[in-house]
Amino acid sequence: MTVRPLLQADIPLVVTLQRACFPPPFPEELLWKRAHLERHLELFPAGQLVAVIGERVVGSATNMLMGEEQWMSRNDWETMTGGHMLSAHDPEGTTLFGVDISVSPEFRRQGMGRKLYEARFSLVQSLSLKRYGTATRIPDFASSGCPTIPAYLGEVARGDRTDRTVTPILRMGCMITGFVEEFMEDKESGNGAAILEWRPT
Amino acid sequence: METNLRVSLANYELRPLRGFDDYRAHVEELVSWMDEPDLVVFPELMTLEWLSFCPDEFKGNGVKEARWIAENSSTHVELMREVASRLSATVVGGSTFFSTDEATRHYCPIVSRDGFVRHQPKVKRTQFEIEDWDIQKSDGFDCEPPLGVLVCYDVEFPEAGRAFGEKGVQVIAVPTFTETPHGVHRVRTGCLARALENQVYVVAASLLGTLGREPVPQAIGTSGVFAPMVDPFPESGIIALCRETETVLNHTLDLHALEHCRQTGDVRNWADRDPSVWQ
Repeated sequence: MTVRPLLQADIPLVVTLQRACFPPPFPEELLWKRAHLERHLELFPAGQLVAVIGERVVGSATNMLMGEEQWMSRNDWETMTGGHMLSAHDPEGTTLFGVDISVSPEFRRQGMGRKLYEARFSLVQSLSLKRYGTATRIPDFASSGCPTIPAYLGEVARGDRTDRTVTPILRMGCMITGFVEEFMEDKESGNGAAILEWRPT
Repeated sequence: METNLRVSLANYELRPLRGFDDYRAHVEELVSWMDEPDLVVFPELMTLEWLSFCPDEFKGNGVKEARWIAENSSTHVELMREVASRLSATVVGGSTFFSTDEATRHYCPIVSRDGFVRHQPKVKRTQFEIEDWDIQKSDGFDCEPPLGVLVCYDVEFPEAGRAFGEKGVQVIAVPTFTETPHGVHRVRTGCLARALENQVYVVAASLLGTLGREPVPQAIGTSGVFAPMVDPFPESGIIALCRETETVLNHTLDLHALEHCRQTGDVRNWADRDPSVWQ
């Protein structure tokens, strides 16, 4: 398995991969369409990655650069990223913001996610950025019975509780550094999100 | 004239090879990561990778190893011609040693998309090239606008870049191989300086990895795209850098933006140059 740059020719494969990775109830309108991925490649080609086995695209990761103010704003998804076209991308930003990561269901638990994360971290180092950062769903929050997002994330951070999305990211070496109450319409997450980051040593 | 130029820069990591077929496979793997480029740049002395299968009679003797690489240079040039044909792109084929009248020389083969090959010598030699490889001096900077090529150390001097600028070059391609952080900073500073003083793009492709011995205990560097530090380009002049691992940096250069900054910028380094100072 290799992590390499996303190419224009890969775009239809990534669109298909997204559907396989994020089945309902994940909102379909959040999946990348061709025009979105084309735009990402124009904006920040070095930040668009795919994982391949032979000719097959089995994983992908979308990244953008974010300025300090934007990163600290703890805004909703749309405002933080600028939407599907990532119009908030700032070429001089100091945070490599992970917009999404997809691994084909049949290739999970084989270290593919870790490879994509390592590629992200090495990009942070090469570009001399302050951090890798992301804001993610917390899909096991609503069903947890926890009263608040920070209480829930505290338990996830201590390992008293696992979250399908946050726990794997913690295992990649990221730390929870914040939360957003109203991130996007998302029942499972109570509309909230966790803010995670990794800093180069 | 086309105003967008798509470039693919190979960040090429040495690996142990068994022979020339492995070399071809390695190059082809990187080529498969290139995204419809007009211009491809490979790193300086990527053929040092051949030393992993160098015949024992030459191994460990720098002069003989360089000579052996030079005697096989046509293998590399043919491969670069195939890449140019397959991608329909101009290929700055890294650099390698060549044999000419009993001397070993250091050139970059540049292949046009229709397969025509010309050679840009590395004009300035490092001490290692002179003392350990016995590379003979070669002269002459030539360019075919909008492209000019400066091999590694040559980008650390202003004169050739300026001469290229006067001939209409808008993109300087720099195959590079550096082994220390000092070297990485020298080449990057050279790239940025040439971009600033001539208001051109500079694109550099880096060698990395190790042979496990001299002459490449460790190669470091990152391929990158550089521009003058004027609007609309980034403050630092660094448009893009790749990861410090084997990869390809694909990027689109907007040549119109370059003309725009030359004509309308707050500072106009190109228009304000003064050749009379040093002529």
